[in-house]
Amino acid sequence: MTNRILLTLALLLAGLALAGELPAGPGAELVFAKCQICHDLTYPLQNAGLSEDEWASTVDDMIDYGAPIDEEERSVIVEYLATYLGPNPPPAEEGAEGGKAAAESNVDGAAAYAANCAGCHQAAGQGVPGAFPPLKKNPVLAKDASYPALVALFGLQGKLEAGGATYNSAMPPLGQLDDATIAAIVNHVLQTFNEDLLPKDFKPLDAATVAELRKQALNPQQVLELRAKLLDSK
Amino acid sequence: MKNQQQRGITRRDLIKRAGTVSAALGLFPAVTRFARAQTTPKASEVVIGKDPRLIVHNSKTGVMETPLEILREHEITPKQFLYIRNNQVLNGGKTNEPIPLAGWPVEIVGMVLRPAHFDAAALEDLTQYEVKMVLQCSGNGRSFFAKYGAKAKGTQWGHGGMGQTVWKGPKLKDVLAHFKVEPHAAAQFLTVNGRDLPPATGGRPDFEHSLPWSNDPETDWIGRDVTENAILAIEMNGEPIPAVHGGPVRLIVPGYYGTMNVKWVGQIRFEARESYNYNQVFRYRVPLYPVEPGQYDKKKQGYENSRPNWHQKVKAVVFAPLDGEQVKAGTVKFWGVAWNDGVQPVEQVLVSKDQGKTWVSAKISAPDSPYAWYKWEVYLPMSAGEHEVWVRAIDRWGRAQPLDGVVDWNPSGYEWNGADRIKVKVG
Repeated sequence: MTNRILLTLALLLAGLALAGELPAGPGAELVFAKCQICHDLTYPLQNAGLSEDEWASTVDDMIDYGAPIDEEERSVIVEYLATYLGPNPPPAEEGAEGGKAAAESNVDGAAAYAANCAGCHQAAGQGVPGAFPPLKKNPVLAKDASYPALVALFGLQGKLEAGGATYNSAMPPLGQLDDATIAAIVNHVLQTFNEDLLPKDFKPLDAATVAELRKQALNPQQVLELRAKLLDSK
Repeated sequence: MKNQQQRGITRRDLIKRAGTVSAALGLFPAVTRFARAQTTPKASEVVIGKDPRLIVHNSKTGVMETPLEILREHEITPKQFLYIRNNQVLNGGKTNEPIPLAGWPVEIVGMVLRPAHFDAAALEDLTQYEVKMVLQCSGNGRSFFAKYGAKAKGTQWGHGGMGQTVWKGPKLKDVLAHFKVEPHAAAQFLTVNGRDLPPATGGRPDFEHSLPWSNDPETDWIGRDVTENAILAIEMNGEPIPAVHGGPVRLIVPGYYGTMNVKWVGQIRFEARESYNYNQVFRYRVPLYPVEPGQYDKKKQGYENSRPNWHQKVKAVVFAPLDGEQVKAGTVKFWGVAWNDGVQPVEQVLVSKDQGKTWVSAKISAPDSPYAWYKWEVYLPMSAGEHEVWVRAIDRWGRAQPLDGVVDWNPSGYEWNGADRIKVKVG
């Protein structure tokens, strides 16, 4: 019970209704993708209430620590944090944000990968041993294109082995990306990093299949269970 | 060429199995609605061997806090409950399991006559010292700056970034003597670097800290603790040090804030100046003079106008009743702990239920180590209604907790030691 009191207090301090959720707004996706390379969303959420200057200096600190954030991204992130986690209440939600139409299917997979994945898994998919698993030459990905799509949609959490190293961490779900973007990223990862492992009859993943997978609403641990099953199947 | 049947699991299968798993557990919100929400893993999933009730602040490096209702139940904080503040991670180090001493290289270099390079197993053969002490993150209590008026950036710790621990190992000075290292007379600092590495995102400075070293401990108060009392610990709470708490070798300076007790020691350098490492110059420091809350940037801090988080400030924390707790009218027992840097004893713990107009002296029991928790308790008559109770500790040098901790606001919110204030509902 007292635990709950502490938790409530922490939330009150942060001025938030729900733990772990970024308010929707322009830049939220970038904050989601970049900040979680090194730390949980708990940190920006706990620090809600800082002024624009304080957020700017915080983001600069993170860049000093090695966060891969360029000049343009920096201004988007600072503006988001100052607006939605700043000293004043955020503007009313702008509605359209979540359900972006999955318009064209010709999304640039390489660009989408660079924007959403490369921060952790690195530009060539080589990963960082012990911290971020490699996507390059990773057989489990090539077994079934649905699996990487599920990881992107719902995240992955728990202990796993890849490329001879063990990992025990959490990848955040990237479900805010539309179906076509997820399909493009998966195809990029498979066709660029795992070309040799793909079956000869490999068919690129399409947005409709991603839409179908999205309905499963898994949690990151369940995705890990699926990974284990996939590995067991020969 | 393999077809789908031979591969054994088809896309349709995967979709179907996923469906079965979710149906079996049957608890799914529409994940897409909370697309930018995060599922923070439990402490036990972040670090092997930790209790799931710990409060996770950052799962990536493993930063977690002990709820006070767990902390107060133990004289020595067991390893499954002890808080963690990791800036960096040792590969494979997110576990309470130990790492073998043998095969762990340590070097002592810099301004010394004879640099030493040795295997950590050699530390077992030297005379062992044991010390009981409060291990406390220098950011512990940071959230109270916000609570009482001026937010300070960083992990918003409550009081649970601390624990009582027992460390054992040879004294650093004995290690120096054993290897005939002989620090140069002009060496004034000890810079310690662990074998953990910054994330490979590039550009991030490797974590290290400098501590004051005194070649003449009789006259130099600041460096005396390190010179006289530092140990290269190889045990925590009677066992090999858990990897996540800095094993196999951790520098322990009793009385110092946790951050200076560098984990995974690989290198000790004697130097004439403090390291200019980012973590020493811009982080883990407080200004020497009061600064305006919320208006001072940490990058204005330098060697001359600020000091590192070395000696712990005097502090008392209420363990019962907890903030917000309901108690029965009548005589109520308040109790908790108090401690400081161990340089002088804690002499008084004062308790007020009228916002500091009048104070009652609590009964203190001194611990068997100057660096450990002093237990205090006091019985107060409480009438029905809501009350706020304040507690402050004072040591023999008169070092006391400020009634308003925000007077010591600093840009990164270190070293909170404002009088503890708890609200109790008496019914």
